[in-house]
Amino acid sequence: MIEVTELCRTFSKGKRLRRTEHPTVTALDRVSFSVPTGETHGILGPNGAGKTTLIKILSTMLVPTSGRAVVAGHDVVSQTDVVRRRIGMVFGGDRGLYDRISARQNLAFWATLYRVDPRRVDARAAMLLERVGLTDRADEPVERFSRGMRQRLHLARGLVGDPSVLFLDEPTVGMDPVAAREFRSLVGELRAEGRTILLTTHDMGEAEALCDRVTLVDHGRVLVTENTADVGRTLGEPQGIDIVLAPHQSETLESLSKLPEVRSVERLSGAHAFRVHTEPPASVETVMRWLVDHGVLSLQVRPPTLEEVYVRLIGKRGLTV
Amino acid sequence: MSFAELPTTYTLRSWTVGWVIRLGSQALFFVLLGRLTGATGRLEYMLVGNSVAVVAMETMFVSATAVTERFQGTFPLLVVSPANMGLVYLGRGLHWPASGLASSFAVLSALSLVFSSPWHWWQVVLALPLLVLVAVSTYCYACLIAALSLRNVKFRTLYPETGALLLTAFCGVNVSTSFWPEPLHWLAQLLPLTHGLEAVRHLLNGGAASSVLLQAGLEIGCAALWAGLTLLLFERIVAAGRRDGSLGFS
Amino acid sequence: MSTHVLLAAAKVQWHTSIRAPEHLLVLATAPLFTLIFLSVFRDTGRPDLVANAVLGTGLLGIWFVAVNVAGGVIQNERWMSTLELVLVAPRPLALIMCGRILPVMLIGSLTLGESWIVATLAFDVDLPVRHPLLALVALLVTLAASACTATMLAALFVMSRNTEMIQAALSYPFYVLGGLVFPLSSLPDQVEFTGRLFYLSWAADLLRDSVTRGTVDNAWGRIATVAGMGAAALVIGVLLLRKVSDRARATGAVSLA
Repeated sequence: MIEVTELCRTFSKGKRLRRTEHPTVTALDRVSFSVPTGETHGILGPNGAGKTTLIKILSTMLVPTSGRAVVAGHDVVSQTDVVRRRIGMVFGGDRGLYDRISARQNLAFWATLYRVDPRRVDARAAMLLERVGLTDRADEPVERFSRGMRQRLHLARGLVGDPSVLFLDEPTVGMDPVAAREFRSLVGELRAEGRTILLTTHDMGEAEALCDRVTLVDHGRVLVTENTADVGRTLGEPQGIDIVLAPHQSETLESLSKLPEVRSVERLSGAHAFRVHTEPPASVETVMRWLVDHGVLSLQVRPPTLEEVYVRLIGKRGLTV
Repeated sequence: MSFAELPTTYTLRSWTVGWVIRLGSQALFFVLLGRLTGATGRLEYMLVGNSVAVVAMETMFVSATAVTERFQGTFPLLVVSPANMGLVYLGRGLHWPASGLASSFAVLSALSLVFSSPWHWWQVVLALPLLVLVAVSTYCYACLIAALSLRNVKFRTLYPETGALLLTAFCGVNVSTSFWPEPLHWLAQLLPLTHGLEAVRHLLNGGAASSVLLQAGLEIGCAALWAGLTLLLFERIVAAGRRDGSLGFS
Repeated sequence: MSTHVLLAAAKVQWHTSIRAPEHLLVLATAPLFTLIFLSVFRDTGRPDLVANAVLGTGLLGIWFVAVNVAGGVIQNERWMSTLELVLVAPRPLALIMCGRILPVMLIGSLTLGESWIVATLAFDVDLPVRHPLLALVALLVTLAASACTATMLAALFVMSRNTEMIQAALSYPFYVLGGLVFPLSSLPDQVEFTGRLFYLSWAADLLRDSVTRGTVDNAWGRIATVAGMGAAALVIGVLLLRKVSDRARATGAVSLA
């Protein structure tokens, strides 16, 4: 459904005074990946990694410098018009809506633009409002809406053309947790309908909850594309061992924490449950053998979470850039 | 603080190119209208009126400055600062009457030259202190309008535009205040610009010094009146804003 | 289908404008302009210039909204970040923008009615229209030409950096060049010649003539001139809009600066 091959995009920096040479910034550097029909695919990466540039190219907002992108079977550069009819675009933040008119009027306008039969425009707007739970407020001007409501309206807007591919560019950014959760459950429904969804996000929890597969990008390059569930197992070394001790094993705990391979022991919420962090991570095996020898029977090696993989691959750059 | 903003608000080029064209051509437009009527003295009458009115137009920009403040979110910070809100505002936009004074003087001089007006150049120079007076009084009025714009940000362009046009219509800019029905005529006596403009007319037409001074004194009275009203309004706005929370949002 | 898009865009603009005091500003200022113009003409004993005052206010209103409201439609879309969404919608940008400009012109033309009412109520003016049909056609063509010119301006403004300054420069100098209140023939030759390149000067003369003159020379030729100048502006506008969207796709930025 989405096929990206060796996609590059550079921007010229600074003022365009002369058409001669000027320094360029590479936003995308030979990016390749593909998203099969019906998949929800996450693009993860820090600010400035090239996520938004990628979405802009795929949604025909921007042309690539080189490389090729095919969406819904059509090239985004040469068959722009066909692509546009098949896609929906939703971006985060609270912009991108006509503030002074009502939610219904917003949707009716976009429905006409997306070639909905004029006789069915009103019905379509009503249906979408119902779907995103805005029916009660449908005739109020959008400027009175909360962030979460605006974002739901944005999603409805992206759906007016009944797109087979939906692009969500950091859709939950700046939302409060409850609103973000509602929004995610809406995206979950769309996923269940078999739409292909490409989602960029910073939020690893969101990616884990929604995405079948994820692609990690940084500095405009793809670091990895992997199933969300397996990304930790394939990539990272184990992050720790979760254990449950019997009530009489308090001495074991003490000597465990003195092992040279053990960096720290963290108390978990359950009774007598602990997480053992090893140093270096490869010494997990040594520690496991020690635990078994000391009669610890409940133990489980924990693969790194998506967040830990992200932090390891990308470092803490996300915080500073 | 306010004069520090002058270079950023205006680069010299955009100042001359943009606003002198805008305000100068506005005065020119009305002068040409006066010429069209063919009535004796009407061109000169409207030339003086509209040149002096330029200062009123420009001081109205204090509304824009005030509203920008509100959008930047610095407004609540000003409210909680230990200074008097109204005074802070009167100080914040002071560069507008200053530049308005310069524009007005430039337009008056240029148009006098172009239309070879009967008065001497030194009379125009002597009018400067009177223009300062008009700058001050219209600025006090403009600050009141800025306060209204702050209260009702939606009307931020409506208030100053209408406020300026009211002065142009009724303060003796194009027709004498006595042209209008009695109530309007009396209202004009309380508005800024009316007496200051009258003083400039007396000066340029070689009227008696006493009548110039009398009108100047009345203009000072108007300035005081509008300054007082402005300070009062600001106090009410701040008080109301603290009650209903309307000051905080951007 | 294109008409539907045009109407949908017009609806959005109408619903936006009636809730936007800055779009309706001209309806508040127009009566004051009429008062000012008429006071001057009454004071100087020129009842023959009443048509100049009333029609002048209306033309001023139409030109004002063309420059300040219609000219800003793309700029507004950019500020609200809806421009990107409009650009990726499967419809031409020019069509959507034209649709948005239509109701704005309607607001501008309301000033003419306001002005008429103010003249009648405040100054007890009786202004009969000598050639009502011609006046109506001239008005409609003027509105259309203004909408076309506004399309061009909207594209220009979004590409330029100093929109507010250009808008300011397009006010009074063009009230003079367009002969909106006083005829161009009353001005020096060079000014008159420059003014003749501006559609409003033809429109203003024609409207005044159709209201006040017994016979109007070459009426249809003059209407054609206004329409032709409007059409030229529209062509330039559509080309510029295409450039705007191509540019946005190529560079990710809309403005030229």
